[in-house]
Amino acid sequence: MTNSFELKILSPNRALPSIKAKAVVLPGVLGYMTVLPDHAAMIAELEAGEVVIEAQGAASEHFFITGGYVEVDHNRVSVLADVVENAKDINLAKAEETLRAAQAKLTTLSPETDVEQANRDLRAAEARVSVAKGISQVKG
Amino acid sequence: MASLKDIKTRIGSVKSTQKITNAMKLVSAAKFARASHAAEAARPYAKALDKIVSKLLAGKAELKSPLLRESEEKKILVLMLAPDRGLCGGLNSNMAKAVAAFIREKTAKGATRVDLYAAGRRATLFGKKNNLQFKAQAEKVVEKANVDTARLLTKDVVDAFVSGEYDRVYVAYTYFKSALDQTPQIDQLLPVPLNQSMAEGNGSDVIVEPGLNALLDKLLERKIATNLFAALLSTLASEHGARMTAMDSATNNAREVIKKLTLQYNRARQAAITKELIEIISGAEALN
Repeated sequence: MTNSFELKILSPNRALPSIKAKAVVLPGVLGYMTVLPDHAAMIAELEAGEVVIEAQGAASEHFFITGGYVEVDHNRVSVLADVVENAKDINLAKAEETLRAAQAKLTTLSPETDVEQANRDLRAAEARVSVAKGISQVKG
Repeated sequence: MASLKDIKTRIGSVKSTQKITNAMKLVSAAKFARASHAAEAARPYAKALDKIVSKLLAGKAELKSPLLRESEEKKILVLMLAPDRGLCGGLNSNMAKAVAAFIREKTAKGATRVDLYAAGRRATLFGKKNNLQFKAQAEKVVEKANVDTARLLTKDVVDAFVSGEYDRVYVAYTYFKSALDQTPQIDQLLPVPLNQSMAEGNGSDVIVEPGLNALLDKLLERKIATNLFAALLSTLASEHGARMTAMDSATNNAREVIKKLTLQYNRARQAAITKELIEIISGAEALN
């Protein structure tokens, strides 16, 4: 029984330094889930959403990620996402602008609009704004 | 022998050429540093994704995905990643030679059709020169080596493969070893090759969410995109590395030429002075 695990957050553009974490909350496609130490081996798909990291001896950190995967393997957790942004680094004004653009796209539908893609963009933009505002989607 | 003035103009023109090559070298060096840094940063992600893929695929024979469809190699698509510009040593011609050889080899083995997806102006030029059929032509691909570009390319080739238009898809790019050493490389993209590192997995007891087959298509597509992204970065780093070395030696050559011309210029000047002196002296002697 250990009380921490190694957490790596990777995107194609950069790799964050690995963290000793007590718990991490992830946006799975079937809903938010929490990974604790000694989690069974798992591979899961992730949606755009919020990642909350409870590091050892530090305040919890919030990140916004877009879709990707998580791999859990013997207390090594790797989160692979296309975009990884620390909540502190998100420009709220810009994020809200993206959200408005995404909403506008869905209200003014044209035959060329990929509705599914537009919906996904909207959800991602919403999640990004709420992460930036510090409104956690995750209880805890 | 060329006149003094001629030599002087030549020195001037070589000097301005040298300035240009030197500037190009510096620009390439900066871009090269950025590209190789990006290539470095992308590696952990690609490695982790490969691990997930091989873990999922290990020991599971009943995998079904249109991206794994094996069929006889008749219709081939080659996605050629190439720079838009020249002046980078032998990079483009080596690439062209490698792809031409590859196409000859596949045709000899019974492929009925080999089409080119030209990503980059040099790839388009190559295809036109060799009278290849184009699947698509794009410019300014490699210089925009980012995830979105890789994803667009992936979508194109995956669609072409899944629709049955092609039996195999390969990617041709320049593998970046160092600033001095780049080699053309041709890898199979589709069907996704399964042989590598399949042995390590005992993935049977892994929880898979939302389910293996639901996950697989997207995951494989992402793997291809990641591979393409790496190939793009590698080609970009190669281009700038090669240009840096080529421009460095061009600058050195210009220096040599300037040295030689300056020597010639000084000799000619000396000869002219000597000639004038002789004329003056002999004129003075004639008066005495």
